[in-house]
Amino acid sequence: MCRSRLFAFLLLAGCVPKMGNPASLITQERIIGARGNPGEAAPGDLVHYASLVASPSGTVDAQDLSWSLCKLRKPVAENTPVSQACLTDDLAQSAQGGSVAIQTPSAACANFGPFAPPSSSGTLRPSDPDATGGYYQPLRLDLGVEQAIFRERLSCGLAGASLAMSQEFRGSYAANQNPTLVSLSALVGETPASLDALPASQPIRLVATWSPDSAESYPVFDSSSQTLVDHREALWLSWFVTAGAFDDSVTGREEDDTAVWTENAWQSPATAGVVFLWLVLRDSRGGVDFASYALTVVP
Amino acid sequence: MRARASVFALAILAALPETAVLATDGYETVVIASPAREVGEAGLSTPELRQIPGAQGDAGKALENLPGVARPGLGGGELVVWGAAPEETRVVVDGMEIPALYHLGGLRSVVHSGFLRTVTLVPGGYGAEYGRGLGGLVRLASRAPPVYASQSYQGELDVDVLDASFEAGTAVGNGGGVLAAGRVGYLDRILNGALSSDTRRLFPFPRYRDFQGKVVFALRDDEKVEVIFLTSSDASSIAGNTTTPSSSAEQDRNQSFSRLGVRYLRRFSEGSSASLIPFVGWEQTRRQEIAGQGRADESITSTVLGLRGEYGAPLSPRLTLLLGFDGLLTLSGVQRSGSATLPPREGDIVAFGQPISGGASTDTWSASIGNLAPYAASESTLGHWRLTPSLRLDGYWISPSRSTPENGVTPRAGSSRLSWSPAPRLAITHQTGSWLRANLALGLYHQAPSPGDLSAVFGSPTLGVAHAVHVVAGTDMDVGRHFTVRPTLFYRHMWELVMRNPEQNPPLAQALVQDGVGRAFGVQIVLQFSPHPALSGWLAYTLSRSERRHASGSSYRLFDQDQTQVLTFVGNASFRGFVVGTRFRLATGMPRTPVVGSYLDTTTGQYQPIFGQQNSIRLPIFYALDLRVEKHFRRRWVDVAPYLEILNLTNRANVEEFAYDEQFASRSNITGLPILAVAGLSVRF
Repeated sequence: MCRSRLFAFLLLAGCVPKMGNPASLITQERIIGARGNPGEAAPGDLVHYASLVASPSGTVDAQDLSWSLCKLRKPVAENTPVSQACLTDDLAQSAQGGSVAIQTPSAACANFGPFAPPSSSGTLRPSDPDATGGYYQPLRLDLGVEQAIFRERLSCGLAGASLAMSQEFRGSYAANQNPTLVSLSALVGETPASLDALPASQPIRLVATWSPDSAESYPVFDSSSQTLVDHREALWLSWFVTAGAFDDSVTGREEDDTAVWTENAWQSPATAGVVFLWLVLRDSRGGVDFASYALTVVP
Repeated sequence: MRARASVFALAILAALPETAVLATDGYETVVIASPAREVGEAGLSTPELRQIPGAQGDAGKALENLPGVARPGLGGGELVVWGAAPEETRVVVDGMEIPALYHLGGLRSVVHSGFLRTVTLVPGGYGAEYGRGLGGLVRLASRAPPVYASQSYQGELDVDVLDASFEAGTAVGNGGGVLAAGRVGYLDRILNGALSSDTRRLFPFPRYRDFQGKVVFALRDDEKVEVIFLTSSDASSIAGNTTTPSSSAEQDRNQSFSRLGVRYLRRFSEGSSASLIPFVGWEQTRRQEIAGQGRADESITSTVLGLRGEYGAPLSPRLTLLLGFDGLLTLSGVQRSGSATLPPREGDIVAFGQPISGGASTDTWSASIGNLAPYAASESTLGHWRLTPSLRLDGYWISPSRSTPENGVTPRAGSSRLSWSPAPRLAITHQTGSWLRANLALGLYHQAPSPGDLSAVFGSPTLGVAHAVHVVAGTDMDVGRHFTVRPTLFYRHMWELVMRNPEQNPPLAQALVQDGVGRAFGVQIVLQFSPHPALSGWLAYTLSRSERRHASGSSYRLFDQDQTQVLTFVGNASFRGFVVGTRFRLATGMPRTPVVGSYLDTTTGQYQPIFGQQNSIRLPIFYALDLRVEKHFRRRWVDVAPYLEILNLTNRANVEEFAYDEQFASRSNITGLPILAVAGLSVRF
């Protein structure tokens, strides 16, 4: 569908296409989330991973899900979060199942962190941190033809800083913890409604909450000014559903917004029955929590 | 030597080395033969530059219709000449180099057409008087203010849907004068209320303004001093969905520059002449982008000092000598933070709408880049042959402030290096017959790196000078009195181009490497016609290929802005005060890299594309038919000329870009202009 305004009489009235289903609508089996516990790991740490696989008939216990550590660094030329080779190369499987435990490689901070891998040809370029100063070990998830990437945040310390700055950073930095989803509630108009009896063909406000400690504070090292800058995690929530339509696929709170809830408008389907809904809460430092719900739509 | 002809003659001839000069003398478009070639009487009528459909009377925009120039993308504003990247083509105004020909978005050029006497495009093979670029050359020459002998003042006001502009000049004293021109754009304010939010989110509409001033002091006959001032300022901004920190999108861009030069011109009685222009300038560019969690911010502030001098003398009736020097020093301060891959550069594989990924590094550095080039040229005539050998000795001084990234309390250590690169060039013309002339031009060209590429974090402080060889061969064939055919072959080979480091483990401070190799080659054929004084035009066809690769073994791939075929027809007819012009353009779509799959980045919740072979597909072919009608009403001292341009007369849905859904699972097209009418009014006195 073309949504440009053809009556525009001036230059550059580009026609913007609108296509496909929104990412929030589950029409087939899909990986929609993954979580590592703890939310930040040092090299050698054992991390427990869990996946969230959704399908039109509800949450899937993905016993065939393959987890593979990728040890290939991303070239500077690639505009993707991980090397394309992590998706296209054959990787050795590290574990299989919906929930697994994998040890973080001992060389993770050299491969993906601020300490460049050893080289006989001189000093190599270290990986770039993300906006939160974080470095990540990628894992590839394979479920049939479906692929996804999870990036486990690494505790690597600070590079490019003075000794005093590194000490100050270690003293003030707390490793990332996963956020915690608390509840989901529904409102029809201004009236609370039970998730077990939601009216069909109605706009329904869904409100999700998380614990107050989900948004953590953390310092980021600014290499140009050689100072630590305090930040607070932003939180955003991805909404998935098997029927009906959300206004937004993702809602959330910026880092200066201290509210512990977010809401989304959901147009319930015309057909009565069970509708599956999933929430995936993410924080700025790679922490994740998710939850599944079965909503009942009544005539 | 000067010959009146149509602007179309200029357009056709511009494809050949050092030939065509598109000129606006007062309000009339003329063609002036360059000293190196005789263009002669084109015998065409005089449709003016402003009558080319789609250019809205802008001489700079008219360049986009010339043979060898790729069709710019919607909102692109980049001049791609014979397969060279836009930043490889130099733009010079009265001897002063300026950073860009167009305002942001490419809607207008940065110098008012009424301020200009000539606009020259040399796609390649130009002489030693100019350098610092691997691609083509655009020369703009300001016109003289009115003189008392003819008219003591003149001016012009123009208003259309894009902007309002003025140009005015007056004679002062004996032989002196003042000339000024300027423009203010207001398209963004009009469109904010007229377009959908989606369109505004995808296409930023710029705010722009420019001003040019010139004061001429006549010291005596054949000796004068000119003070020339140019300034231009642009800003554009778009803001998208901000309901969540992961999907917010903003882009702000600002660019501005100024130039102030004092030019001394002297013509001696024996036929020799001298010129000298010292100039100073300022440039500022700022680009800030936020897309989801990715962001990038780059700011470059530069001070420019330039000096250019030239002395030419006829040593005999058959031999002319030219001596000169051309110097430019750019002192830049750069601040950059965010992803190393934003903004994307040539060779990057990206999909439209792809989330910004990568790191969030920061760097602050300064870079001094100087070029001093003495040059010499001669032109000799031997029977039917004319030889123009020239030599330019390019000295480059490159000095970045940091050799390695900031690291704790480690002191800063910069570097400085000086290199000399000779640039020999040669042009040969053979007048085979009264109706046939053959031309050959070849030369060596050099270009310094951009200050923004000399970062120890985002680029490489060790970058040096890139090089290119141009070879151009063509003929001019007059077919009867009303037709001219000009086939031209061109080849450009480039090496030591700056590219991203493709290694997974690049050395420290080498995010960019200088191992790029490129080539561009092709043929263009131009048919110029003027069967009647009131009817003229041209048909131009270019078949070309431009490729790049890393020197370290990779095979050639298509240049990101390669266009295999470009066909342009421009025709103009005048009758009873009406001027009707038409333009038809057909161009191969630019290359794109296909998306062959996708995956979910579960950490951000965003899908990312998996790419196929780089630049292995293309946007669909583009074609459009444009029409322009202008009517002149002359009343004593004023000429009022309303005009109407109808763009994309057939309402063809040309594809300007591929777009993907959120999961990169399906592809669709972003189309460009529907049929549009653009109206304007020009008042000249």
